[in-house]
Amino acid sequence: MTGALVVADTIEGGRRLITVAAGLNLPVSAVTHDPTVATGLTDYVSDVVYHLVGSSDRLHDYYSAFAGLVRDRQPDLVLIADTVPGRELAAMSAAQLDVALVSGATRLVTDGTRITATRLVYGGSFEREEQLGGLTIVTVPTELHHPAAASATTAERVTVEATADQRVTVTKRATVTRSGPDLASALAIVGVGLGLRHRDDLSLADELAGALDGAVACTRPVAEDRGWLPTERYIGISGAKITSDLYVALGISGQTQHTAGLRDVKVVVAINSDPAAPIFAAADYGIVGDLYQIVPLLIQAIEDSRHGQ
Amino acid sequence: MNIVVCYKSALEETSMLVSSSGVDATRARHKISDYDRNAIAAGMGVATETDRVLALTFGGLEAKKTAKDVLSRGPDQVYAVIANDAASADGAATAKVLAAAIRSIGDVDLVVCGEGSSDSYAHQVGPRIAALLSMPVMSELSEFSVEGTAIKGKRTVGGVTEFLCADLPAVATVLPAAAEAPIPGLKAVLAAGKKPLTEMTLAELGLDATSLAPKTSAGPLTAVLASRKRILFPDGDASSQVAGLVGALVKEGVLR
Repeated sequence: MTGALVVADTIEGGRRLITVAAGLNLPVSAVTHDPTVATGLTDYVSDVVYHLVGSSDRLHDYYSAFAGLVRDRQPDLVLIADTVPGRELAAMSAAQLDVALVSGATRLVTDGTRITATRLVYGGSFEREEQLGGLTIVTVPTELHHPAAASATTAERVTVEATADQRVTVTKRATVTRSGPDLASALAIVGVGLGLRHRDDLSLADELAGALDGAVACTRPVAEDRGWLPTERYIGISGAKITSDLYVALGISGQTQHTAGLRDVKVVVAINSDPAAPIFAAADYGIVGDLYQIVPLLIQAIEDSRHGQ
Repeated sequence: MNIVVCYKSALEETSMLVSSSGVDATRARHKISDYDRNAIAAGMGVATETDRVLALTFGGLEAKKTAKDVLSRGPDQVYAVIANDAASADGAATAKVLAAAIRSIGDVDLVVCGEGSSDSYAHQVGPRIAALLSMPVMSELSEFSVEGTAIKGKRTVGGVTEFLCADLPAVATVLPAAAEAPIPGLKAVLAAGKKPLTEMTLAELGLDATSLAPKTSAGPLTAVLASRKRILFPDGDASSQVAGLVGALVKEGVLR
């Protein structure tokens, strides 16, 4: 098999990876463990959809069967979403296949014969290109890419009996409370950092996001150390990469680990009381000031502007 | 129980020099990779008084420089696999070396790694070690504990928090949230000087440098510079600053 093998645990995630493969002019096959995803993706995939059938509902439990499929079909490139289970599947199968894994590729280009991946290193301070040689597994932040449109043909669907490694069991699952629209689709995002003094002050960010018809996000310490927002709401090299039109950073110092998630934002605004905060170098517009004073004025001014005043 | 905590000596990114000709790392300092400090603390956190915590690294001669810092954080011993060209090793090679060293140490019940290194941050060495040693892996845990012969962990996947369980032996990779990594006290630093550092070579582990050659061809580092306008609304009246900002956002077409 020549071309790309896309690993999908959702239809939309699969479609976003198909966009990446199409950008490299590669014919696409897909693999999933979910029957609904398998059926759904036949409209978007040009070659074959492989449906792994086994006893687990977690795609990464099938890493061994997946590695077997890759060994058998020999694609040029394997694309996997850069998520917790995606990274686990990628690394486990790469080890079994003894092949390269390039994780978190922010850009993939081809000169017709060789594929080059770009990825961020050193906490987002630097980036590096890696030229791929032979079969390589690449994980991709899918939120950076649009879902592919339907393919002209319907793909063949092939069922593969697969053994799952279920030595790790899930004893409980708890849904994290979601607040507001998805970061992947929001046109405006308000981010909060450690400059926000109290958890209750999140209402200020909520109100600004409401005025902008947007979503609230945060830095990693706000989610992980303070637990004020779900971890899926933090932006950065290890979190969400956003592509909104507008990002307003409130009380965020602007470490590269955070700003690495803002590279595809159209306009970045920073409000911070520290004039030396690095966020101002990573912003289009900035106000040095107390966010508790500035944000209420900003909400009022946005509403006035919207009502033509 | 034997617990192995893997760590990397990484370059301190703030000591790397950026110029128009590129990034100069020749004078950069080495440190324990940031997330690995948390991994060491997490390994210490689950160890009982009778457990042995062994820190393991793969690197060039510089890898030995961070050993004392590692030992002052609590581990009983450091194993360092030293090779001249370790700096160019990719995740595949690093995992092979560490897995071989873990086999050589023997009787290892738990392997703890950071979620990724502060330099390449590729999230792959821990799960690769698990695959090579045929151990189950729980990756990117925000909490974990050992209860009897089982490991329990918690992590967030998308919008869902998963509570996981597996029998030992197992590999865990941990987020910084799993354990704080305080600066060691003077007593711990003094005690570290008396703890053993055991060097290993690739040959002793049955590995040769050619089998560890990187599988991709990596280019030079380039600095990431945000191409932003960097317009500050001048000090003074907050209302006029905000009016200036809103005017600019309307012009940009990002206020609807």
